[in-house]
Amino acid sequence: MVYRLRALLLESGGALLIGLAMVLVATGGLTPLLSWRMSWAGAWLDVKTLFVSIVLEAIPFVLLGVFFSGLIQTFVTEDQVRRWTPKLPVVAIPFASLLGFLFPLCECAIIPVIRRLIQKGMPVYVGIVFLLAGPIVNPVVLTATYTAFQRQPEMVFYRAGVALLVAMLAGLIMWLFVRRNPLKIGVERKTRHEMSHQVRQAKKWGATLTHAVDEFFDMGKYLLFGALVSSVIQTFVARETLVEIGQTPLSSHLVMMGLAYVFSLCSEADAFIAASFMGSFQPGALLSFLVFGPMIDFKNTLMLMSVFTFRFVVLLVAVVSVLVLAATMWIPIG
Amino acid sequence: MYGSSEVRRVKRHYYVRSFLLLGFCFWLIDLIAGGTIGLYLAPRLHGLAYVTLVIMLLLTGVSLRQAIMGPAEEVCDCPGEHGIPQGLWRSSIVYGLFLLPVVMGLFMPDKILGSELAEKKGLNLLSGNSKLAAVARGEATGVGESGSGGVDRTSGAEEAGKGGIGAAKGAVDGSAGSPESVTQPQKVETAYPKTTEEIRKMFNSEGFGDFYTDLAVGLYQQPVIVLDDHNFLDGLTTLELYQKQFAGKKLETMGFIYTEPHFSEREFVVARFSVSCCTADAGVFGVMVELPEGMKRGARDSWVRVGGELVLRQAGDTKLLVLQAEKVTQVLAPRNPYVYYQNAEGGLLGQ
Repeated sequence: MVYRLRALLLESGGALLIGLAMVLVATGGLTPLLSWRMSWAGAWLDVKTLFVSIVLEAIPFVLLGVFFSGLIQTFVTEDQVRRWTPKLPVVAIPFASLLGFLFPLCECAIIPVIRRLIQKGMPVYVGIVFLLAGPIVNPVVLTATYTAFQRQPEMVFYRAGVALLVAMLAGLIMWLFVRRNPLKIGVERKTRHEMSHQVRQAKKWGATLTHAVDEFFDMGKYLLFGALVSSVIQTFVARETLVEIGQTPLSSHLVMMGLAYVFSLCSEADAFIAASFMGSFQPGALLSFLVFGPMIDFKNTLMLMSVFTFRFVVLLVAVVSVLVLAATMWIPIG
Repeated sequence: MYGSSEVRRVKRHYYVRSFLLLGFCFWLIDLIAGGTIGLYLAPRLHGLAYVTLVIMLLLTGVSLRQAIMGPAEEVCDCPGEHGIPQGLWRSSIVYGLFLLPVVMGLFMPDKILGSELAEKKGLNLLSGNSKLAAVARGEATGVGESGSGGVDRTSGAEEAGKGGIGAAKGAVDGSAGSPESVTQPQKVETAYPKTTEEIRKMFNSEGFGDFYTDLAVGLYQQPVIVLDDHNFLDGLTTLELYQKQFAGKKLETMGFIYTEPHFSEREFVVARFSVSCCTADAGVFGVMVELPEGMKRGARDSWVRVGGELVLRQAGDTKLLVLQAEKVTQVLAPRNPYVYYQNAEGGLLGQ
């Protein structure tokens, strides 16, 4: 009895606190507090600007992915996923590589969706093909690429082509070699978990929202950490030093891929950055930046770790790196 | 099913989450109401901030319900599935990460990007980077100066500029004041008398597409080419594409002063940051400026309006347009310091 009373007090206390905060927000009562601003060294303010802008840009897309995956989870049954996914790898791999035209999701939004689809029974290799190709081979990103490369419109075709090639080859490798389930939490346990949700049909929307909160915190922590590291590096490491390293063909490709990894840009914006390197790097190196970045970067490696086992993420990063490097070195441009 | 201690633990987490989500909401309101959102996102993505705010408010509500009513068992009875961090340390780090952008956003002053970051990002000058600019200067002041060279830069450069375009000018002098050129009345009395068609023909032969041909014709017909917030990037690109044709034209623009150690006392770059989606993808673009003898350069990162004449300089094996300044005035930084690609608009959520 006493314990219950105490719990009640604690909870109402917490509710009161939040209510108070809400009132303050609504009435602008906090503004005097905000006028207190510290003086900071310029470089750290730049870190703040970059970090905050990446977060502001990426969070809506993470939320979009989270909601999309929530909807798949509550409204799409495993049977449906199995029925829609082609059985034969020969059909399924090209099918998945072009899914981006149907669902133009960028690399932040696509991860929660892939996780859900794989949990719902989509074969891992099919999911991986979509994961790799989706953020590049979609109308939004290809339009942005065209805008950035006005002077070399053929870059759009190279980007889409190499992305498709790499995604399909990586999918093939996954199909051949990955036998064990690479998801972090076992599919069976997760499926059981979801079964319990499906029992209460009426609560579907509520369940979607609750899962959205959980998934936002689950995915968000990796996004935030990735954005923080990326903005610190961009503020303190000069591009010039990297450009100087990248003088031979091989090293220039590696440097551009490294930059793509560190910058963790949204695939819609990275073409503009690539274009700004046009003077210092060959088109082949720019292409490696354009293909590698949306597939694998620092921010989404961390996000992948939340979904897949460590071993699988390492394998995926290695396979994609080698394929992108080989493909962009081999294809002659310009 | 949860034990009662487990229930309390989960509830605590949802309280923390509610506070964090509320923080995000407050921060977003601050950004939108204060108008500072423009410092972080390109205008076409501003709509996203509103969407995020609505979703965040919704999530705050849901999280609060979880916190007050306890993890709703009728919805879900699955401990460990919801990514609730285990242990105090882990929780503090995870929630600290979420607190960081909110605290930074609310308590650290907003700063517009300046020279410090421009140095790290590397500058995009008209056809070339800042290294080339140094080469350009080297050659202009060096022994092997071509053509009309002289120590008196202003006049020398003027000559050079005229040399570049002289032939074209002479050839069409006769067509001054022909009716076709009256698209914009005040253009008639300029020193570049050409009909719209002729100008179009001159630019079209290079084959850079209709967008830039149109822009080039429009810019060329102005007595003084003005690069403002709206046409800065596309205008610069146009000037770069048609360097030869634009050498000798008058140009006026605004930006912040960017310098590098190897610049001389009378050289600076008038630069702007371009933003395509968020400020993290900003690139630096600018025009190399040379001040006339006796004029003092302003402080780094201060904002200036520069007017003068474009001069084509040889820089290594490429050419570079340099602005020979005639007038430099100090101005205040604009409310929105960033510039955007005009023809990239109408992308996502078409703002």
